[in-house]
Amino acid sequence: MTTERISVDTDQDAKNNGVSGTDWEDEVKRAALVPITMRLGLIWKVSVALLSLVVLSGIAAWIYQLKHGLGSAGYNDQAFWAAYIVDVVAFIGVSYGGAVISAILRLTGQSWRAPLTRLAEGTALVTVIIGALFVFPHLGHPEQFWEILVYVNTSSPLFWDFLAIGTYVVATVVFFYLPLIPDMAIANKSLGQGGRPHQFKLYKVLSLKWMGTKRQRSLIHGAIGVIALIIVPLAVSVHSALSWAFALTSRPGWMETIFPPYFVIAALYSGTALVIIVASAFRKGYHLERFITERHLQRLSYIMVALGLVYLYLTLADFLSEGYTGISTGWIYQTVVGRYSIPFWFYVIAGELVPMVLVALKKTRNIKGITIAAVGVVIALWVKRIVIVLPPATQPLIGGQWGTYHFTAVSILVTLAGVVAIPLGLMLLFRILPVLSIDEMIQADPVGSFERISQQSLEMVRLTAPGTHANGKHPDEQESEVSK
Amino acid sequence: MKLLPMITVALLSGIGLIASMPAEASASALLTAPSVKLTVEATGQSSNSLLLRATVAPPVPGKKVTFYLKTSEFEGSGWMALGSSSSDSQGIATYSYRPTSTGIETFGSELGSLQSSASTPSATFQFRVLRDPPGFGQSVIEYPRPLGSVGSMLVKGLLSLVGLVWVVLIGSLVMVIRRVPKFASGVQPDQSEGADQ
Repeated sequence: MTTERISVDTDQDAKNNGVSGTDWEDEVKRAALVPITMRLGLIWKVSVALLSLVVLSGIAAWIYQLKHGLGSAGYNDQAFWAAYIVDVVAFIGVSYGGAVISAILRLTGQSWRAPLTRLAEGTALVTVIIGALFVFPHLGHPEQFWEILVYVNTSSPLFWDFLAIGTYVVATVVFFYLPLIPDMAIANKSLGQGGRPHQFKLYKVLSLKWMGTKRQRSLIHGAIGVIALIIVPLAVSVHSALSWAFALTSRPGWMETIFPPYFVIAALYSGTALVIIVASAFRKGYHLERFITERHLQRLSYIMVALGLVYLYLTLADFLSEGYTGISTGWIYQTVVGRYSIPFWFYVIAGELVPMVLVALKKTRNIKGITIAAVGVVIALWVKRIVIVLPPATQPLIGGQWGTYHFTAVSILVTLAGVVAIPLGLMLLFRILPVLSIDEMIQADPVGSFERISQQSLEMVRLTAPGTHANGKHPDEQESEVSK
Repeated sequence: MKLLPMITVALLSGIGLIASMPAEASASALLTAPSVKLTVEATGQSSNSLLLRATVAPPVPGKKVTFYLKTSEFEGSGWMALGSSSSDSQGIATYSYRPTSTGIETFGSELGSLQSSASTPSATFQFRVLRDPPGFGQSVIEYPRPLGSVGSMLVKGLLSLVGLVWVVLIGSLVMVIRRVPKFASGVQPDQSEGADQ
């Protein structure tokens, strides 16, 4: 690790490199606000149209399901929980990762987080909304949802799920909004009315007359600190409550004390991977290479791999605790060598081994390799949730006939709609709001690393013609050399 | 014809039946068919059981009385036999029963036993089980729940915790929304940016 060596005297380095603070601020503002002001390109429009089409297809499939029942999504007497509960757990899980990563980096004062926080918090916001919405297709009669409030059953984990998820959604919204306030003032000032009176008005209202005074800063930092402190245990409670929906049933394979940490770590693992994917995609798509560097993604990948190892350990512990007693091992057999062995080993290979190798090898520890590893983790962890849900659900408690579940067009379309709603939601969100946390990047503690890395990258870009860089090397390569 | 031999057989059979029974009993049996009347009473607030009491009238000792509970637990609704006991010298047969749920329960009793579960007992009685007596019930149908005695406190504590989180969340947001505009005219604006004012 090279953190110590690259975190020295960045101001002096900046001066030596001839990069003034004003240049840096201007570049940050420009990069963050360009996605808002730019004319929409054909690729953007076509992407949004296609993604919207898939989302609409999913909504149509859900309406079809409302008419024809959950059987149209492949549900049956034995597979009473299947695709949609997997989606609820997976989507809320990735949201959790984004929020907690951002909160922990804030609480520990990691200034290198600054270019990533807006993306991480935006991802958390979008995915938690999508995840919470998956509860409705999961319910056979969603019109009865209100009864959870009218006929309160405090003995049911579903009631606590409702409370925990509802509280977490509110916390995510607040956690996203508070750091946005200074940026709204900056956007308001930088963009002016610019032919967009509605947007101007929105920024003005959301900026709360932000002037950047010391008292304002003290207030907002205190509030963000409190919310960051709350959101970590809150997110833990959300996934614990979700796991209790399984663990409090008398069903081998679910009824386990290990489930709350098992779910929490899975959420963190997949959430960190999604932040890497989103950061990598926006870095490329919105030309943020100067600000989100290879080092950022490498650091996130280290966190991801550490969480992956913990999750692998918990998976083995899950098997051990029930397998050792031998009371009910049918679901373990079916998972490891039986009918669910293919998805299980897919998780082991694509969700554990390949990401570890890609991050471990210096040759593949680059943006491309890390992004591939993260994609593998997100997909494999969704598949792993299937392996957690289906074998215990379909195992026979009386008799010897195992139940079956087959994905149908309805369940596939609804799930796919949720998947594509993430990039769609983020693209629309960052069409309105700054993609980078401008104020944080300007105000960040210089005894970090990202400013130096980014300012050097900026300097190299300024000194070279478009398409080439100083010494003929990419900024990331330069940065790697600096860090060595 | 064949009519005369048939009447002869019938008379002889009747004489044989009367002859085999004690005089009083046979008279009662012939004059009044025994019936059964059912009452149900709780044996006390602290008890776990209900006492089903069937009275055979006129009083006949040693009569087998079967007690039933109407149930819809199984396919269709029908009468489930709980057990039976014999009437005493006062014609009273009793049976102790522990209800498994609260609500209105319908009990029945029959001299002997019903021919099928679809038949209706000759005496029925409804009884409202208001609440599970202390210590009753759960152990019969399911395992005792851990933390059962502190459950309500736990729920209240958790709900208070959730409420506290909401207060902090909304409170922080409201505080920022109210105070940030007030602090806009602070002594020293920080280095970088300002709003449009």
